[in-house]
Amino acid sequence: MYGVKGEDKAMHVQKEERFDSAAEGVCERIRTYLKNLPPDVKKQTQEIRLRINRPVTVCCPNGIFFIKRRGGLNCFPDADDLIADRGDLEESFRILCSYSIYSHENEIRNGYVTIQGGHRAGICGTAVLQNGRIGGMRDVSSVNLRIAREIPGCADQILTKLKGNIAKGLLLAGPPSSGKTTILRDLARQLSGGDRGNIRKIAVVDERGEIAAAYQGIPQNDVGICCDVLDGYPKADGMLLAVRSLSPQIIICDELGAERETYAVEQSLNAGVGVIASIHAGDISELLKRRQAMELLRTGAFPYVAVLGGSTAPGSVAGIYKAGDLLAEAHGGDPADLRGVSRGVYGIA
Amino acid sequence: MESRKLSVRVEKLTDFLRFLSAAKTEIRYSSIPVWSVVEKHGQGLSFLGLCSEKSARGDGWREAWESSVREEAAAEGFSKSDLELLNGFGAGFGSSDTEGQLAHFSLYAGLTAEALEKAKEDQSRKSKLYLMLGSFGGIVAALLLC
Repeated sequence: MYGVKGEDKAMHVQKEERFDSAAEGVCERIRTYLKNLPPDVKKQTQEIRLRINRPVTVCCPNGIFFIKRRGGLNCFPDADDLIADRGDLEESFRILCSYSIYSHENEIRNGYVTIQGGHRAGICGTAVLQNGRIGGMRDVSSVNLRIAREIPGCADQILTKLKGNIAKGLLLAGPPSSGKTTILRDLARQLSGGDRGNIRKIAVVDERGEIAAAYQGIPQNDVGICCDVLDGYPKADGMLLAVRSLSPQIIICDELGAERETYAVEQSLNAGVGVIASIHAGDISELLKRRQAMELLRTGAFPYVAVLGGSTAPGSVAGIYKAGDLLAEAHGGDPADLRGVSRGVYGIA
Repeated sequence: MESRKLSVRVEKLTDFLRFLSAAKTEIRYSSIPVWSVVEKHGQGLSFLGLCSEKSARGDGWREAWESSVREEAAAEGFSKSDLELLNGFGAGFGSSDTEGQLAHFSLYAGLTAEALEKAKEDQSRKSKLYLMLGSFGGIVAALLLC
């Protein structure tokens, strides 16, 4: 895990508090068990998982653990596991929605709810279709509560390598739980706070409320002093709005992929605004196979691509590549031209 | 005293109807969570104030609503049937999508308006009776003293 050497006591306490704040999103019965877990487990937990009539588990970088009814954890399921029943799932769902289902309609349709603190709960159930489209969800069957981490300094590696070039644009690629959002958050903080050279005007388009985790308009995470947060805006609309009305130097947003978003990225580029964004990809070869990724690279808005390591080493950078080299590779160029794809052009591995 | 109770009930039902209308607009246009709706528009009714306080203290929403109705609404002037109406409303408040909530609000606005009509009738009918009884009692007392 990155930054281990630099982690001080305050960071440990913060990680524990983050776990506890995420645990507020589950029903009281299960929350009691979660809050009594050892501090070391709380610090490492990435996800809390509830599945109907199945054991409650916590996912850490070193594996999945089962919570025991008598307290503590086990690596393997057994008769003493804490089981989540229908009532637990329903009550947790209500709590995650702040007892206000109507205010999370779109999120529920998309399968997640973001709660106070920026933690994201993935919700799984039976789809309710209306005219062939997902209109809602019933019978919640599992909840995956992902704990949001705020790790100041986790973007240092990228910022040191790219220096001022980062303002030209960067695409972060990595598998789920690899730390993409955490790095985006730190980039926003450092770039808008002037930690690296000039203070830059940043606009964060936070569709899922994970980057800034704004609560009643106030960002719960530190995204720097010159940062405007477009909370809840669909990414494409938010980017166009930011370009029109906020005159940002850099736009930051999470998980690009749709066609409309590619168009918005192009518009931002044409307006002279740099874009820093993330995209799902297991590794560099997967990225090259993704049509959406290639389209984003072709816009010219992302001269650099940083590929992150897996969930076992969240936040670690596996390589930084030039978009031109990746496009050449995707179009059948000589692999030798890539000067070692496995290590990246900046040699981070 | 009884006459005063009747007018207080009319006042409170009117306030609740006003709350329903404001809350419905809030849900339709700003989608703010239930406790925020209550905090913003529930100042006129002390049971809503208590519910807001309980919710801020960390009580579950359903529990906060039910206990506030039980502890405060009866003392505030609502009748027994009004308490059932308030509990029924609380059970569905926040538990569906926007369309469902708007329908829920319309239903309870209708039921509250009906209760308000009845309360007004009671007030005009019974308050006259209480007034007459009071006047009659006064005359009898005066005659006895003479």
